[in-house]
Amino acid sequence: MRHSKLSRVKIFGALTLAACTGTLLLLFNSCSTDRAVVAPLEIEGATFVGDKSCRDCHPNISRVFPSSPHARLSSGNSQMAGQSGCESCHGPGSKHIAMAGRGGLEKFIINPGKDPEACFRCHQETRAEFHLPQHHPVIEGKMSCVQCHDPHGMDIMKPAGGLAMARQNETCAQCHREQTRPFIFEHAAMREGCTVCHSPHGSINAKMLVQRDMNLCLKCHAQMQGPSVGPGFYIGNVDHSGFLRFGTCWTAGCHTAIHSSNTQPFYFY
Amino acid sequence: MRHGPNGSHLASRVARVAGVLLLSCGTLLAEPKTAESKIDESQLPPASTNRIDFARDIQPIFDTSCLRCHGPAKPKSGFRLDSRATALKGGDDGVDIVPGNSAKSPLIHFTAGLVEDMQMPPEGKGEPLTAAQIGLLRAWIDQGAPWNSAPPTNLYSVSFSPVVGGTTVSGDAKKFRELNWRPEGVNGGLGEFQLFQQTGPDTAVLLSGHALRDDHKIDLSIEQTDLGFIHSGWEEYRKYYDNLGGFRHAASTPEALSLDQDLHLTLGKAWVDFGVSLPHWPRLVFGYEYDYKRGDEASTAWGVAGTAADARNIGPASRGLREGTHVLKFDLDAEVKGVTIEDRFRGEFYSLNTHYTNSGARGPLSQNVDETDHYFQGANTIRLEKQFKNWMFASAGYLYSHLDADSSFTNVTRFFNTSFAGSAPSITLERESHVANVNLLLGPFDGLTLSGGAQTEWTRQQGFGSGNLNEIPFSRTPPLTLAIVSTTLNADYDERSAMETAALRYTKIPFTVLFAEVRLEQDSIGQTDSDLQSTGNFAENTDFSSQLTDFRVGFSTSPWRWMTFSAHYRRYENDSHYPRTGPPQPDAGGYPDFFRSRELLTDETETKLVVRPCNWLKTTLSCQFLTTDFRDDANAASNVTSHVVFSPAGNTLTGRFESEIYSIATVLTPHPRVYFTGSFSYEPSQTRDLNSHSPTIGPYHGDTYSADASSTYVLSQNADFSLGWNFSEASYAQKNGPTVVPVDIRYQEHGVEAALARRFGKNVTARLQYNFDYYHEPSSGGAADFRAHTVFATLNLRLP
Repeated sequence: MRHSKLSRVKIFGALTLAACTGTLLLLFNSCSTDRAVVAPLEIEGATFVGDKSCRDCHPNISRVFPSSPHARLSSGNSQMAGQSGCESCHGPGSKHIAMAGRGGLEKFIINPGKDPEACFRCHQETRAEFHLPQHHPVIEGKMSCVQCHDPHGMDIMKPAGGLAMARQNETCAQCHREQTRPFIFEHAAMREGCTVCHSPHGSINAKMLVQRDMNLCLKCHAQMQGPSVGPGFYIGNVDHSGFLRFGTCWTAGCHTAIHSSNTQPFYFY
Repeated sequence: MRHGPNGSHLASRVARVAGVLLLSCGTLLAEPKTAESKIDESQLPPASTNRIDFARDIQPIFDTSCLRCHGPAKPKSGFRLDSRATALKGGDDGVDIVPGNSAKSPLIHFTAGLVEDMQMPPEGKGEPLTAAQIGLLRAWIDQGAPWNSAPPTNLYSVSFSPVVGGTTVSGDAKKFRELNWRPEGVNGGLGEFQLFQQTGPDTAVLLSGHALRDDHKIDLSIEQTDLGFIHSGWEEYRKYYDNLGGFRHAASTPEALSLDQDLHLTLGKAWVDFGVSLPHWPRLVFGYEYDYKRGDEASTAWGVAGTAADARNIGPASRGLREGTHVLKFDLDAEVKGVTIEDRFRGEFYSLNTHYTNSGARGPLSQNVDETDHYFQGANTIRLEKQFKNWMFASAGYLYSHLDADSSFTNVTRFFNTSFAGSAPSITLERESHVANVNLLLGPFDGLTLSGGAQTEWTRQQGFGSGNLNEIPFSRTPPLTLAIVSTTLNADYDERSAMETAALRYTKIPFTVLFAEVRLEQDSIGQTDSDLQSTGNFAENTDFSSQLTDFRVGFSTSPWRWMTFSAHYRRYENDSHYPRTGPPQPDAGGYPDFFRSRELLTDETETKLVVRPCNWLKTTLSCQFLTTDFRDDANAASNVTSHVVFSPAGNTLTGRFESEIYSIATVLTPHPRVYFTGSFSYEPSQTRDLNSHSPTIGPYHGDTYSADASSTYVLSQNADFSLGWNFSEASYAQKNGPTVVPVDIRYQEHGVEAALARRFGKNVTARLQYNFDYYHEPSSGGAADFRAHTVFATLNLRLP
């Protein structure tokens, strides 16, 4: 039931036509109003005030920000407003400041911890990854970007770089304790970090693997074949030619406990 | 209301304290601290002669000029102007308002600018008050500082959104659940709810969350300013899995690969935090959290589903999982003499039970594996920060963690009609880590920021266990490897690492920032592990040392209001060496067995251009190129009994991963009532390894497309219409031989959402939403395909 290119074009064409027609109909038929749409990251009636205004109430964040990865974009005198600095992620701050002292000021500032759209506005390739079939549920609202990333670079428990106390795999271990606990037989790949094998934002493969076949493992485990192995295919000192046709190294009952094992040095279980 | 910015502030504070002492002699009820001798009251603007109405005359001044710093949240100098009681109470240094005597009230002195370094509002925080405004304040104080605007008490707001709807799916409903994180069928409940009550001027209660099918969250927050808070909640949702899986040979029927199970994990946590936030006390939080996962998840440990003669159908498998973690929390935040102290303690009691059955593993062999694990881990980090100068900031941190674990393991393997029962009833593991770091941030020169840090880590880990397990397989085949023999397990791990980071940021070039960053890491690991059996031992010494270099240089510039351009180059290199000690193992072949070293080298380039030619159009273009090489240096290796040289010596490129990502995103607001955003991303990538010429392996390559678009249109004063679409498609294949399972993935996914929202009066909003989801996966023979229609109606009610 593979779709031909023609049918794909038809689907795209139909969707585009429907969207354009609907938009035009709505434009022509709706009654008049002076109400404007509030685009994401805009705050109705608020204007940009600059980073200096944020420092008064948030000194602990502001003072370490120059060491954070986001400071790479912040020249302090960019011509394009709202493209760098605090308000590029938190929205224009004038109403937030005006409400200070009267309560409810959180209603007038964007919290990227609750809405990933603030992050996706610049990290558009990440947004695309979250639309792949296997992904962490950020778009679904069950997780947020700040659970894994520290945008200000000051949280000691998060490896955002900057002044943070970074530790390998610590971010993933917060939820995936089973895979990051100690074992008798440790798979050395864990030293390289989880992202050597997994694409944490999203992937087309089950378990968010970066590859779905034995190439995932052979990137490190491939070896030159000796002149006398004949048709055999050796990995380590074992002829794997009969096993590799099962597609991956962890299927067909072989290296299934690939995160490490307490009882089997080859991670069979 | 003290914002003294420099050293002279100390002198003026001493003078003010002296003034307070003098003034206190003449004032019984209050202790104004302005140095009276220095105040020339004749310079004060005259008090207004009008009868003051607080709400009309005074509150607007407070709102505009004072409450930004002297509101209930983090009031400067502890002085609050949000109620009469707090205003008359004064701040850290005494009272600021003397009812009936405005000329002696520091508030008037400060606002009139008569005290050096104590101008209120301070420079840069607001416009100075006019003489007329000061006159009103004087009159208000002289008239007794009446406060006829009652503090907010018993304010409330309620918002809840009942929702009802459902989804019909034709095709693989389980795949729909997996991809969309929600079930098919009837759904409904409360989409979101929020109850807020301000029970007093300083006390607020907030209850919020949602309650839908298989997806619940409830948050309760009780806060009292200057006392503390209670935050508690519970959330739970499901991760669904399709029960198809594996690789399906083209000649097979889809049903052959179905587990016919409702696979899902229930993920949740419950928590309660008690916080203390007394003025001038450290902020303390004591908390408890329980995290859990339970259910059955799809596993990629698939088994052979075809016949022995044609084992090209690899069928799905699942795994039962029950995991729970009790977490005790303690947080402390304090500031002592300009040093910010942050301490975090976590104590984790972890429990794990897993079970899986792989009925088709390795032909006629099946495995039934049960594992338990319990551990306690205590970890504490303490971190100190200090701003020594305007241009120098330093921090230091230390982490200690200790983990004690007990595990058990059973595995019943069946080979034809024979069972082999192995177990390791007691495995103990212990891990201890020390991590310490120091960091410095310097900005002594205008436009130049330097930051750097050093971190060192020491981790020691030991493990021991014994039991009766299957023989170590080496190169033997069943049933020789399935015999049960007594086993002793040992592991010893000792890691020392150091990391250094440095970053430079230069902003003196107009509209531009240049940056350069480097991270160096040196790691040394001493590691042995062994599985000692009467019929042959596995013992490996995987001592390891590595040097990691990760640097990045780039810039970002925005010379015009309509354009920003940024680019960076990154190189990541990790060289691992395996200093071999002792003779090579005749049969074992742990990973570094005959490898001397390994290198991982990544080159990454990324550019991004943001163009906003006009206010209603913004477009972002970006592209990223990534190449990672994996390289080994090996000794020659041969089988000591058969003398087969299975790997000659040499330095080889074992693998290469290449990808390119091209993205474009647009935000369009051509009319005040229309908003459109869209993005498109294309990524071709390829992975090949040293043996990719083999018909069994082959390079793995393909393309991934991803797009999404959404638009909102304001129909009328009360109605909005929105339309969204997201799409992804991939086509990946491996060029392998006809006897190998097909590991291709080809799919196309669409999601369309249309929604109409309308407000009815001030408090009611209704929303009608329709979704169409489509998934087509030719590589699974269409078994995972689905079409889904979803309709939801939501009513949002808001009071007051």
